[in-house]
Amino acid sequence: MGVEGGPNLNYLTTSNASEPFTQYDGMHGLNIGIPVGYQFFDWLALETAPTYIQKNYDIVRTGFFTGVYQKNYNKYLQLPLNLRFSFGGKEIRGFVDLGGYAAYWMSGRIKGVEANILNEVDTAYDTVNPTSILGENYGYSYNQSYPFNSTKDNRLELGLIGGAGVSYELKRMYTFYVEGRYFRAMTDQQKNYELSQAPRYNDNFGLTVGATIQVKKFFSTIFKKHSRS
Amino acid sequence: MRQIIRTSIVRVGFWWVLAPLLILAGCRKTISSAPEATDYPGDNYPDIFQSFWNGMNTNYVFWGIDTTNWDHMYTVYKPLFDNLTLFDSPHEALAEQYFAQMTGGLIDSHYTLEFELTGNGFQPSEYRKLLTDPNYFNDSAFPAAVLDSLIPSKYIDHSSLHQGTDTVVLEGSSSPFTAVSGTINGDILYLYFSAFALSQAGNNTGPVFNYFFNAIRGATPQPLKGIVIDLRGNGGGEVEDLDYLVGQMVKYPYQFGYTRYKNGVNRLDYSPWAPAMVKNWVGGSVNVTAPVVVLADHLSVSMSELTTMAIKSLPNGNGKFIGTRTWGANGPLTSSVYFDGGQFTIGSATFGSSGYMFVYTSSSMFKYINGDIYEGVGVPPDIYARETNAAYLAGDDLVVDAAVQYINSQ
Repeated sequence: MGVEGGPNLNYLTTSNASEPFTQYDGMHGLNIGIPVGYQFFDWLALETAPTYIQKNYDIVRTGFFTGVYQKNYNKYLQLPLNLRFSFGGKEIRGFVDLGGYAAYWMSGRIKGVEANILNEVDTAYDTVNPTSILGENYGYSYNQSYPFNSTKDNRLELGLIGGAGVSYELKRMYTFYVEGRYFRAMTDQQKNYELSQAPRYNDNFGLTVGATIQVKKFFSTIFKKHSRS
Repeated sequence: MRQIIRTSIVRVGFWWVLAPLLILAGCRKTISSAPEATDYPGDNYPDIFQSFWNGMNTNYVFWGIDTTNWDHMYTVYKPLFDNLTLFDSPHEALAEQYFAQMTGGLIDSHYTLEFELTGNGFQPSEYRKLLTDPNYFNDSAFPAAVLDSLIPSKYIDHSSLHQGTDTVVLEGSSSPFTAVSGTINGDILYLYFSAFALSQAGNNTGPVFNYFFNAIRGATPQPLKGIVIDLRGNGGGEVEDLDYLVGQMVKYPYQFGYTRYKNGVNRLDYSPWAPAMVKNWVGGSVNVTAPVVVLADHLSVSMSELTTMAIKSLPNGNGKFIGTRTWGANGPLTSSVYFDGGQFTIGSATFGSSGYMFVYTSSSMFKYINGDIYEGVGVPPDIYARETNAAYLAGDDLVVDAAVQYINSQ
């Protein structure tokens, strides 16, 4: 077992064909986990890592609507389960992870600016000729918790994991690794609450650095030292 | 032996991991590009139905509180529209009937379907009001009779009477615009205007508003005991007038409610609630502490209702609403280019820029400062008062009487 963490880049994959001047951009986040695994053979291990992971994304309006945006910060508790296939030398080894995960959407935060229809720039005797929506209506800046809607929000996310990395083993007990991972949500971020619903999926690309210790060897070493003394 | 156990565990474990992955791998739905309502050609009824249903699904801002089952409408009405094979009068009549049935329960009380081929229209709120009260529009003597004869002649002090009528353009249509102001009993300032088009006040109504705002600023011979703003029968109009009218009675901006908009293509995709503000008027304002009574009734719509709520929320606590429950259309509305959601046109590709049908609907949902949403139900009065024909014939406006009585009691 050990500890791992790193940055990630998350995208929300959805349809915005009927939202003109709107784009969904990826946003950076972090993930921190506690990897636990069982090594069957040199080349195969089963691993999991309870992980706190952020899956953020940005909705950005463009053109006339420039200045209107919403950054979505979402925190998940994620439990992956994957097989690690490793190959290479004794100390430096490459590996590939394949598996799945379940994640619980713990909380969200939304931060952005929207045009406020009841806060007009125009006055009854002074009509502006705006070049942007925020020249027509003053913007409302917000930074608040995302209020979950039990009809809409699906807080359980299931998905697939693919990853590849390189590890370095020290004294046959400590392992340090760096890995690129892709978490592909296979379940919609929303419940199926309407016909013709545009689904939303997280696509998360992470770079993880971690260190693990082989618990069994660690304790047997300590036990041996203790016996000698 | 240990190796055999380990290999067995691996075999079983491998499938425990792999099987769910294989199942999951087939789960992701296709991200289809749901087209905008305006993107459909609209050259046949099934296409027009699909365009309308999608447009409503995406643009209607009240799905979060409206109980209409829109999926059910799809299931029921799609086959009926599929049977409409020709554009002719009988089929058009059926189509309009189906659209009316689909939308009859929508709470948006601005909501109107305008059928451009026939010139027909359907407004669900009007339909429902007439269903429950066939005399909804006829059983009140206000505004015409009361305004034309009673208020200027009986209530307004003769020497202070200012009144006039101009022609203004609201939503592309010319209409008469009347304003009346003066004092009642010397120290109660009264203002009536027929629509929110104050920026269009011309030679006849301009002096009426000038008199009113000068009076607020202290131009009356004696200090004002109260102000009465009469919005009965007022169908609404321009949002800018909110600051111009109410903002001249406050020195600082204040919040009287919240608005929210659609911010995604699915029904429950909403922006957060934004504060609905009255800003002190840029041209100057005074801190009015005298009671401000707003009169509104069942024919007060849209901006009249927003103004009523703004006056109820005046920061000095001096606002009071006297009258009857308002129409119930208080979701602010503007051109659909500005906000996700709101009004849209279908069938433009086939029928020209006016399209087959124009759907007039709110751009945003409004919530009063106390957390209540009055869309579809109307704003309830603080003090109930209603004019009757009998009272009118006897020379009394019971609502103005109630306002005067309230102000005198303060």
